Amino acid sequence: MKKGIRALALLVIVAVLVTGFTGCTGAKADDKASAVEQTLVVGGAKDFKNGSEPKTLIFDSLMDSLEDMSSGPRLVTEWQNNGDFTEFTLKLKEGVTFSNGEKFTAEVAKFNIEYWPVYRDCGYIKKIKNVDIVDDKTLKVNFTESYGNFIDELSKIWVTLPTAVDAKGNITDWIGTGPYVLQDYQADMSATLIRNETYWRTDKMPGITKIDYKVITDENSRVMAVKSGDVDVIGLTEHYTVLPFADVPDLQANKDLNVSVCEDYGTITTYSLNWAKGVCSDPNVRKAIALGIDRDMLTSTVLYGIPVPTSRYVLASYKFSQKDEVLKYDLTKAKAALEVSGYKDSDGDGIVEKDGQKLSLKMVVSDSQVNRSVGVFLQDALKKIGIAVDLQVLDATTTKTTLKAGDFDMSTSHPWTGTVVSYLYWRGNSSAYDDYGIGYGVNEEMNTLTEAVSVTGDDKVREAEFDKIWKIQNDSIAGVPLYFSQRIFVSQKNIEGLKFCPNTSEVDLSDVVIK
Amino acid sequence: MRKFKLKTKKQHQQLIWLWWGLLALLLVLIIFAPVIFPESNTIDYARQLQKPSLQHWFGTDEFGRDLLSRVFNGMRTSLLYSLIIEAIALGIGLMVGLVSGYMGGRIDGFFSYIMNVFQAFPTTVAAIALIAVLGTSDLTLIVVLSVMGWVAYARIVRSETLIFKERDFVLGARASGANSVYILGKHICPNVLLPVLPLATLMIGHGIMAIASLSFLGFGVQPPNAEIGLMLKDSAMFINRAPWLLVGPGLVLAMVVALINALGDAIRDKLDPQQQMVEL
Repeated sequence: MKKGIRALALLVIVAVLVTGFTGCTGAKADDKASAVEQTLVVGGAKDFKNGSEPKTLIFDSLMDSLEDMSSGPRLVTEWQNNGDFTEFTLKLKEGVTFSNGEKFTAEVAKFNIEYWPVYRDCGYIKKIKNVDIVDDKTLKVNFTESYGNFIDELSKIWVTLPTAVDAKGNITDWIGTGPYVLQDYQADMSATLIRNETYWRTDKMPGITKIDYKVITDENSRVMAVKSGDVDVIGLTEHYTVLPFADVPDLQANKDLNVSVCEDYGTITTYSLNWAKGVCSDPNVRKAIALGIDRDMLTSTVLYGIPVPTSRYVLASYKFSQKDEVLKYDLTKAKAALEVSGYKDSDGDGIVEKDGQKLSLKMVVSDSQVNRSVGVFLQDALKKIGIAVDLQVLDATTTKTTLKAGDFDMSTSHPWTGTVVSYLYWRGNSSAYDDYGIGYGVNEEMNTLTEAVSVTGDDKVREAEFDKIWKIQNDSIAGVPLYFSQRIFVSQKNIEGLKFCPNTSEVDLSDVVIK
Repeated sequence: MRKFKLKTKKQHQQLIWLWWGLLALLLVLIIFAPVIFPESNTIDYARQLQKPSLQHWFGTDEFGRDLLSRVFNGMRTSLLYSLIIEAIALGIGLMVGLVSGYMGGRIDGFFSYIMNVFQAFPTTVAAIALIAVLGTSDLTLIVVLSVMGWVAYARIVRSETLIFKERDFVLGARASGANSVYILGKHICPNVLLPVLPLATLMIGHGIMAIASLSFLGFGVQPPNAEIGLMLKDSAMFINRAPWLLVGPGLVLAMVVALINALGDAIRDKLDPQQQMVEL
């Protein structure tokens, strides 16, 4: 009998140990101390060459993007336009060289202005007539029609050598004018960068001499890596939140780590609604979904009070943002919207139906801890207004394939980011299915308004046009904004000077020091 | 010496009864989970991440759902799917093994080649690849694991068929004019099924683990449905704040699989003629 009890005890111990190890994926590393001085080890979510941000360590943009998403000087130092925005004169920075010694010239700038817009969703490509080289440091850009958004869009042009790209928008030779030089690169694994000692922005010369970039795709492993000291910082090279919100309180309580939550810049998590076909093609169903979600409850429970609930599409601090929050939680109005479309719960099972068909929608979300939790929350919330949700949590690749095929009713999506005018050219005015669901181009008027905001250089006119755009979006509800998801850095205590760059897609290490 | 042997045998018997009692209890809780624990999906944010208590033996998860209810409802899903998977795999393996072993020659060569190809792929990796192509759903999970699981049965059935087809009663049946289908169905199949039984029992445990593994990796059962692998995945994030979330699901998973494996071993021992001769 004793043996039996012993065997049972052994089984319990083994089970507990197996269970415990399930959550432990990182090793305690005390070998960090051997790292070279002023070498920053970065844990990145994506392959170095595939993310938007890592490239900003190597390349410079023509214009700087400022806090409110307007533009400031960078490689283009001065600019002038004629009265109707059909002609722009650009003055270029003198004395700038690429890390291989080649000079940044008007010829190089002309190439970049002509080559990149098609790959960077810049609307000016549709109206550009020619780019004339006036002298080695001056360009004159002519348009067929007015295009007031041209200068802002130059902040999306990251300057490469003309010989360093292929015919499909891929950089073949990672040589730039930026603060770092790519020394070594292993696809999907790592990259090593060393400081560009000839960097032209002397006021922005970084103190960090070397960056070791490690790819850690799993969110829990990233957190474990920074906790164990395997990496110095996570969240630095992504413009979105890279760790589960549930981990934030734990990390904040860790005396060896700094947690910086950015209250000003970040993204607004927005779910896409398939307004072109299926059950969500009914505007009242979309309205019911938008009004039936208690965003305060969502953020305070499954998101642990970190993100800020909102029904705005873009941050209030951005130029041309909506003035008011419109799609606020209202259970009564949500149910009423469904009744207007003829949906009723006639059999008392809690799910409404019309013409004998239960109102059920397919929600596709990309697999992450936050998305799973939000998905279950939304499923429960929509059930309360009588909508059944078939939740499908898929890996990132399958999610993209499914969304591109239009095989969804509701899905995780890409928020309105960057300059809002640029977003209009990318997804804001698109009615096509893409990797992130479906665009916001719900009617012809969106075309007219997109045209209007891009041709004018008058911000007052733009603001008035954007008011109309937001009205269309709030009325048609092509997507459901849920919460403002802040960028979050988690770094070792000895790293100082990390900061959030106003341009959400840029990494600025100019003040960083390892103590 | 003799006294010691008798004591050991008695203890052995007691241990076996303890195992079976525990297995029976767990099976009752698992099979009748929807009746005993009807609120496995009931969300209540007021009781988010509560520690184990008399009210919630395994604690509650981030949605305030009772973990004990979810563990047994989840295990019911795993056990049910595993039984279906093994039944399908056994059916395929039985047919392929019988035909391959009995017909021999090129047919046997062809099926042996197919079996080698299937065995060359690691099950989990192959399952992930297939699910990625077919899409994630409970049906896909069952189909994929069934397709990957039949080879083990086919190999045993084939080797047993090779032995039985040379036995006198089969040769006699063939001499009396019985056709192959009749011989396979009437004479060989009942005999080859017996050695397959312990394997089938063991494979139920394997099936539960495979379902949990795929769900842990995001290729199995979909939320909000309860499933052990999915629960472990969601709980891993709370390893520091709420470690009890991992203990309940892990403990029950380990116990159920271990007990099912013990059952398989016991069946094997019972059916093993050599073991019986030693006991005599």
